[in-house]
Amino acid sequence: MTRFAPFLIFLAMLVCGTPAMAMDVLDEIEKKSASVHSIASNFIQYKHLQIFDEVMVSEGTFHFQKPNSLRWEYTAPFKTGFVLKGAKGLEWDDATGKVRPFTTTDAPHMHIIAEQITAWATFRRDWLSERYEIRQLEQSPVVLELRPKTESARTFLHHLKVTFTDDRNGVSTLEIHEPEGDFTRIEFVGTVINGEMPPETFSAKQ
Amino acid sequence: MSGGTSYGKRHRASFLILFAVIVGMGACLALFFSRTISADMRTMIPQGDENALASDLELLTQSSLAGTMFITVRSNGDTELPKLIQNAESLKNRLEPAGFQFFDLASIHPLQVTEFLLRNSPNLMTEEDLTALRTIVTTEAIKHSLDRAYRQLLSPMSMATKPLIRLDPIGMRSILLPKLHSLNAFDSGEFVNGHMVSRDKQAVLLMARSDIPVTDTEGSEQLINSFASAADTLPAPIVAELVSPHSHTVANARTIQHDIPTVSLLATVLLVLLFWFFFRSKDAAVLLLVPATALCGAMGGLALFAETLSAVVLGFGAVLIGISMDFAIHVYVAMTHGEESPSLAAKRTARPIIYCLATSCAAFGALALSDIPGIRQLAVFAISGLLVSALFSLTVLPTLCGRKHPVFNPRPHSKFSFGKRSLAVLGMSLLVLGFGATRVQLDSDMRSLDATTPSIDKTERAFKETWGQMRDQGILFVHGKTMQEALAHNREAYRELRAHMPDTRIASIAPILPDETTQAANRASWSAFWDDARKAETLDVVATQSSALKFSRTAFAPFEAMLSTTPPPITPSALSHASLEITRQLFMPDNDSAIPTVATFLPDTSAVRDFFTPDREHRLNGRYVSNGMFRQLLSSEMRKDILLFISASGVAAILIVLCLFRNLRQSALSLLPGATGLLTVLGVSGLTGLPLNLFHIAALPLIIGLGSDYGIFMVQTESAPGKTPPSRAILISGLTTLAGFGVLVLANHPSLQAMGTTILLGISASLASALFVLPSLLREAR
Repeated sequence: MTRFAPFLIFLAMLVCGTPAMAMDVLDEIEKKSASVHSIASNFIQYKHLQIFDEVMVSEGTFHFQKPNSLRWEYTAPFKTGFVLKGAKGLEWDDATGKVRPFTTTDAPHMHIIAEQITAWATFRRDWLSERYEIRQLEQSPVVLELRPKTESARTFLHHLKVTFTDDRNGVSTLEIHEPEGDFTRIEFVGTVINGEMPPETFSAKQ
Repeated sequence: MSGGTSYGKRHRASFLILFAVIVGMGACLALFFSRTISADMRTMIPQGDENALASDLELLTQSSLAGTMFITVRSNGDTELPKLIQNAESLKNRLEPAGFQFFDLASIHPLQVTEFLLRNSPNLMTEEDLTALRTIVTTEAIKHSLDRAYRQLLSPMSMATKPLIRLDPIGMRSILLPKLHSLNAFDSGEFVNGHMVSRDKQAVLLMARSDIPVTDTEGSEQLINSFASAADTLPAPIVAELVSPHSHTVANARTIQHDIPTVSLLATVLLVLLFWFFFRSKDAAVLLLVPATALCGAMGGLALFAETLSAVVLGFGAVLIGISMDFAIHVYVAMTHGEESPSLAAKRTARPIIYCLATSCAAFGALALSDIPGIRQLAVFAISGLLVSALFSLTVLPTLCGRKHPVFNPRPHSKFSFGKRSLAVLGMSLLVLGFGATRVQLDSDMRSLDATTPSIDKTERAFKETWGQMRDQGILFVHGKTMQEALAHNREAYRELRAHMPDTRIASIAPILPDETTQAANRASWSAFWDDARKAETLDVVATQSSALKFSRTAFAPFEAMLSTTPPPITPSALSHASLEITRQLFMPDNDSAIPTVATFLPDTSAVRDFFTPDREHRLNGRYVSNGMFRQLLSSEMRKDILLFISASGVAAILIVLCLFRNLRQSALSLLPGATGLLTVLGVSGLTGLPLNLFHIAALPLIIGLGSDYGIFMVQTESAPGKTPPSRAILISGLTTLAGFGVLVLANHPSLQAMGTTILLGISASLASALFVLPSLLREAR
């Protein structure tokens, strides 16, 4: 019996090891994100879409302040974006030159986008676990793969790949993979955690 | 010895007669129980011209919204819509195991539907749409559309919109998507993420069906209780409200369960007190045999004429018990109290009883002329019961009860009689009542016969405030020998409605499912529009403009393929593949008759009702039905019925009393109590503004019949010098009638209360007229 012991321990590690590690890492990220009150970051978005000849690159900024203030804005190649405070928001687009108010009840798709971004920014683990199968791909830096649980979500989302910063304080890149192979990679750069955030950050004009 | 033999013979005769009565009752009951009893309220609906009302009701019943349970998940605070939707979903999950089968509005996938519309553009785009299309295939418009597509593709939402952009780079969606507005059959809500949401976003609507029939009281109660338990788990300030026919079933059952013991106990106590007060003899117990025999006779008589018996009619059994006592009371009082020998007294009552029987039968016979099947059954039921009651009273009763007994003797009638001045006041009162009778309103709304509760009323009011007239919409049903023929009629109806009533909300499937002939015409127009030159020019513009935005050469290959492909015609089953199965079910209800039918939902307004003239309906091979129109037709049929009942029973009563008395004055006097009773019911109804419903009307012949009976008994003594009018028999029979079912006025159920009110008013007035007014007039006449 004893000669089989190392093999059994190895087998047990294979079966249980990875999820146990994922849980530890998730616990750590969740704990760290609890102390995050605000995030300000620039981002570069790379769209690998078959319908474009090139990788489409766009840039923008992202601001978040607890509990529910959010700004997501593209600054190049065109300016468009939205701010959201609670249920009320404003969206703008330089093509029309107009700023349009909205509420999450009028525009539920904005609620969905905001909910996703906020869930990641604050690492709402319960919320994420309810919607995705979470698997840890790398340990350092931490890379998680999330596959949607519902059939309807799987029709347009194959999986998400999230890479955390080395200090596990936030997300450094996010990849959104679609079923037919297209994907979007968003790299967050110059991230400032818990920095000062002027009040006009969450208004239409900054 | 001879006395003993005589007693023995009489005893044997009584026994044989009783035996025969029991056998007869048994036979009647056996026949009755061989029939089917139906609680279907449709037996109380007039059939109308060519059975129109019955078939309208059938159509309304078979519509997809009939029998649907509506659950409003509402926030009484300020809850964000996603949270409200989440709670609605959890309520749904809790209710599904309890037998709630929910309409899955979330099964409609917007992207799938949009793709379906785009791929079927050749089938769906009308000449009007092609005119609009002309404005979006210009270079400028295409450039603008591609620029918008480019921005969308760079946004976080690109995953969802990409397939649609590839299929439609020029923005044909702006022409096709408004067609979906016509699918919204609900005027006060909108679809958000597969949920029906109120305009203020503070309420979500769930719709469900159940296998539990609305007539199943126990099942309905379980359903309602399951809902209450599930609703209790919602967190404040979120609440759930159920609007369902099952709630009414439970409320009606509970009301009747409460009413029956209360009313029966009160009626029994009053009857016992009356019997004790007036008869004070155990022999009087034989009178109790009369209603039992009459009821069995009535059930047997009805079973002879009808295969399916209406439970509603059988509910009138209580009424029959009340009337059937009257003949027996007259015979009993004459035998036990009169100066003559019992057998002579019984014989003397025979003639007026036969005439009273004739007037009552005539009054109830008038009901047989009704257009309402249930009322016709009531006529047969009542006449059979009356015949048995008269037969029993005149043949069996004298044998079973032949001794004199003390009977309470009320004060001589002369003390009660009126002077000339009082008569003048009475005449004035009758004039006022007559005036009131001209203002009688009819309540043809079947819902007013329903025992509702304040909580149900409140929920239904709140539902109406939130969702508008969703439950009370008018529906146009068009038919065809084939589904394609029905769809062609439906498209024509839609076209006519749009042309004549552009501001009316029309919910129709026609814009996304035209008939195949129309689709073929659309395809021909589409082909003509997309001639080779336009196609090449458009694709060239798309290629040039998209290239500037770095789109790949194959980015819009699906669009090019779509322009070169002719799709097959859209069939009803194609809707299911486009996640629109629920829409198919809503607009194309499966009906029992298997006749292809397509529905259009419209507001229940007089303008829409007037629009669907018989000619138009004939041309469209359709029928517009709505609760409002149904009430209008029902009201007209009820008005016809009420006139028919009163005139037929009135004429018959006049003829019978003329035949009996062969004297105009006596005939008129004998009809006075019945006329007074009738006038009082109609007058009070008109003056107080209390409208008469079906149950009030069904009780009217009873007033005419019983009132005339009182009159006949009073007047017939005028032809028998030395005889005093049978005031005490009339008083006792009147009081037993009032005690028997006048107490129904205390019931909570509207139908029982309606009957009780009619009886209480009518019989009280008839009785007062017979006992107090008639003696004065008779004396005056002498």
